[in-house]
Amino acid sequence: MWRDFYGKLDRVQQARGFKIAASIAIVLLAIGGFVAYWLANPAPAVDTAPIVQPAEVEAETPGLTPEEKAEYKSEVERYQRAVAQLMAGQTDKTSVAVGFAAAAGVVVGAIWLGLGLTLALFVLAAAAVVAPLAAFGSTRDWSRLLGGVALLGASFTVLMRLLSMTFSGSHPVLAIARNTLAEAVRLKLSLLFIVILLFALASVPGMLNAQTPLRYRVQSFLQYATGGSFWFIAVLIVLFSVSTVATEQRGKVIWQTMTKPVSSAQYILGKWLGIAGLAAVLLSVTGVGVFFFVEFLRAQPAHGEIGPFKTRDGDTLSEDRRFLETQILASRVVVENEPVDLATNDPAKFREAVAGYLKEIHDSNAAFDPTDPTNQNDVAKSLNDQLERSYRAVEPAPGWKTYTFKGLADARDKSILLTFRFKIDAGSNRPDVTLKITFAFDRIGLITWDCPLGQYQTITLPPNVIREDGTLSVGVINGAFYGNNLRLNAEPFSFPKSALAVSYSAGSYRLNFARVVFILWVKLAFLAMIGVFAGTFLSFPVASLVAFTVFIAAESTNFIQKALVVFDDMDNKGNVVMWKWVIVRIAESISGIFKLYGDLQPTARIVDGALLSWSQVAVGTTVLAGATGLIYILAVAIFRRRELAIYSGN
Amino acid sequence: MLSATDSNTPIVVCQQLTRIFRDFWMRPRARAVDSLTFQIDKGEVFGLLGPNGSGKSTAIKMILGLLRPTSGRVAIFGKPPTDVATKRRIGYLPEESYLYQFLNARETLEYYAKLFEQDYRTRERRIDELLDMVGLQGAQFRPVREYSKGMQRRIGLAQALINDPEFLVLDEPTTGLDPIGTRQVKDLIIELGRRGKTILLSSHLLADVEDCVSRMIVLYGGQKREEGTCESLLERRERLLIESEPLDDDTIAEIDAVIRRRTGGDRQILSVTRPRQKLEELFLSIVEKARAQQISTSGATHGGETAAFLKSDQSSEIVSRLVAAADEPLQAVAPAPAPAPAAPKGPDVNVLEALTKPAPAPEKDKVAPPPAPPKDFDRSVVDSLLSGNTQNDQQGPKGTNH
Repeated sequence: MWRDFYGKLDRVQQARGFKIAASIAIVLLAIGGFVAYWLANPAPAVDTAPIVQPAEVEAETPGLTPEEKAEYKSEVERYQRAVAQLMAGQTDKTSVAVGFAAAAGVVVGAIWLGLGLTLALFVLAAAAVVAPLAAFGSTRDWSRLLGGVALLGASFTVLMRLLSMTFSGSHPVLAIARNTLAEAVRLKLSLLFIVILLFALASVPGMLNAQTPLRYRVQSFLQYATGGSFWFIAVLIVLFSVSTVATEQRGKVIWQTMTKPVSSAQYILGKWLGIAGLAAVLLSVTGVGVFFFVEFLRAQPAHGEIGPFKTRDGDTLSEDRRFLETQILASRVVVENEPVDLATNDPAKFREAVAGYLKEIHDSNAAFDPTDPTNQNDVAKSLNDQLERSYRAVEPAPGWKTYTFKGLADARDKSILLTFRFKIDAGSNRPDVTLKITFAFDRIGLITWDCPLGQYQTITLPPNVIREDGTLSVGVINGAFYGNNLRLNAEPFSFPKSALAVSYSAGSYRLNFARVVFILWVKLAFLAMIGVFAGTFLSFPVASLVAFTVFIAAESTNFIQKALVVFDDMDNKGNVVMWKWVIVRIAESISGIFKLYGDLQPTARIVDGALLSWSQVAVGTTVLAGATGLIYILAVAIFRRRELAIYSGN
Repeated sequence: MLSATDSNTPIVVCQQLTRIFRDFWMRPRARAVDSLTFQIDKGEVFGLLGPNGSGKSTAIKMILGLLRPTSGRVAIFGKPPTDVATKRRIGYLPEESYLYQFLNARETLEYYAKLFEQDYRTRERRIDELLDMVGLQGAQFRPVREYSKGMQRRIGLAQALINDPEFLVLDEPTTGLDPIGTRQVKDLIIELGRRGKTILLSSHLLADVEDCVSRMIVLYGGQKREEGTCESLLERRERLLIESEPLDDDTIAEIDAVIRRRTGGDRQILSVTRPRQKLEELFLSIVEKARAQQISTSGATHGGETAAFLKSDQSSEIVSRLVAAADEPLQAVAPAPAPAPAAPKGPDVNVLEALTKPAPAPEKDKVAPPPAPPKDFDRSVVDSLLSGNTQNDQQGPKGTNH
């Protein structure tokens, strides 16, 4: 009975007349909705009050000349104008109109995909469940969750239909791809994954603590929703890609496909295309969900605000808001300090240090051979690591260090404000302890900072602190000036790796988000090929193990790189420990192979508001596509030699 | 290399084909096919007969490229089995229906049709015809996983025919089918054979083979034990069957006396029995009656006539329309005294023959015509071949109906 009903419904929604009539109705509704919004929301007066008072900065910059202060003030005003523009965008009617148009476009698209009535029924059913739940305080969270699931489910349905239509051509590759898509949504395992993903994503907003600063809520959401979704989809993709190929061979269904005019290359390409398409749909659904919820969060009051973008004391930008808009929902170029590399900077001195180190070890351990190249390399590496760690530490004596940041000419030329971001570690990072440290910048002079331990801090800097050659030098003093007296701290502190950086805005957050989602898809497509490759010649359990090993290895590359810095393959006497040596070599190989995969760090970038540039996207895509292509060729070569009537798993 | 378009080219050539399965340590585990040599000519309905484990399916898999021979050579349309282009001309039904359980019947056929890059109109027409032919029109939107084994077999058969293949490989095609389905499959094979299609039919069900094939080989232990036409293998020259209306005992005695007199007492009537209706015929008549009473079923229906596109390579649209007009189910087999599967039945076939160019007749010197098997014959000959027990041949017929 249900089948008959849906059959009739489907015939109606597939009819051209229905599509035209429904499209016209939706367009009229969108126009009417926008007009109603226009009438209900008259344009507000633009608040031109200053956003940030530069007074506190001036108080910390006694070395500035009046001209420099004026220049800095103008830079701050430029920043204020940028923020004012940003705020004006919150009530911009054009963006609202674009929103209405986009929503109407999506609905009309769904209608022309033949899903108009299906979605209408879906929305009605969802509303029938959600509305009663929303009416009571105790079930309101459930209504939000189910509403979110319904929205994501509807998006998934529309996108799957769109992809299915894209693959509807009469060609073996497209037929196999479409069949793979159908398999993904009709088999219990993958469908369960998809449903859990939609529920998990919809439940993340409910886990955010409304009492925490808005910037942390946004960061947490981005972290859990984007990162979590990627991992969840990746697990599904790896499992499904292995399963669809391996079980098809085990179940012998492949016989009837491969006795048709289908080459091995077409079969594998079709399988991969279907899985990569599924990954694209799932990422699009989660990406769109994350994006719109972030926009929703953005429109919430930040700490210190009485309404979105409105502070009680008349300032239009609270600290929380400023951090959110400039640090997180941003697209910043991040420049870390130049690493110390004695081997390159001063080879003679480095060789001398290595020789001294080797002699020292040999003196304490006669069995140690200082002429062995392996020992020499290990010692050189170890020494360089020690130097690097020492370079990032500021001892009480002499009490200062200078760090250099290169490649900032663009920010200087375009007069873009800089954000100096740092974190210090000292002792056991007691939360109740702060250290007074002082930074020295060109043109500005000294800025003293009462610095908590283990927490990121930021200082906004004018672009004129950058030198002509695009470098920025920062002097860091382990103490503070009291009048003309420098008082040094008694204990050392250090900047953890990557915890000392300068950044500047280089594009929009929205575009950056799109690039991040694209790179995540490229990674998933790569993983899909790994899974298909493993499934061509291994049984499902073994192939899954192989594919997951590659996935975990690739994802943990950054961790491995960090761990290798502190993991030594020698004992206290300088002897190489064999098992440690083996681990180091394996770890180095893995981190070397997947270095670029790990360096892309799309989720970390979007959480930190760091730019993922087009060039990085291009390089990352090219390299991963190349790797995917190589694995594809290997998979075809193996599959061509397979005897499909013998299942290796038996 | 032989040209695949050469009409004299054998469709399949197997020379000294051997397949040894090995264990993990590469030790020989089973010699599934052993020095098998045979060829299938164009237009033949070729039987591969043998008990379970005799190497039939292994041989087929080597022909289709799903397995590689350990030694020997196999060519199909003059090309290696791995040649992708050749597969456009082949239809294959495995010994079990290995189908995508999440698709419905229509989607299954769409999928396989797309692998042949068929355009939308051709695809849709063929799918409709095939679904009608295998009797699954009413169940076409149900997932295949809900199908009975017989229904899955039917859709498996339909997918094997989706490309109107020149060479059809049917591995145990009637397994799991009810008597009606079995009858239809046999009729289909016979009709396709008459239309010039080349068919390789593998089975251990003797009735399947004897009704359909023009030539066969019998395998045992991976080796070829016998090869020849049905006629040459099954005919029993030492017996004669006379069938008549019922006779009284006196008349029979008189006939016996005549025989004795004319042969000098050497020959006589050995037995006289009343022919029984076959269970298959009884079953068919019951189903026919049920259908006439319009009793509904959620399973496969009786099926329609052979898909129009399978009947002729030309004018298929015209044929489709004409055949559709003559909406007489081909399988509406009325209870008959004895099955006559070799003879094409129903007016549609005649209409078809009259209105379309007849398929080229098989070369008589190469291929025996599709058989009109004797209504009764002694299966013990084939049984003995399959069992490898040649003693049975000497023991004479058993259970012959008179």
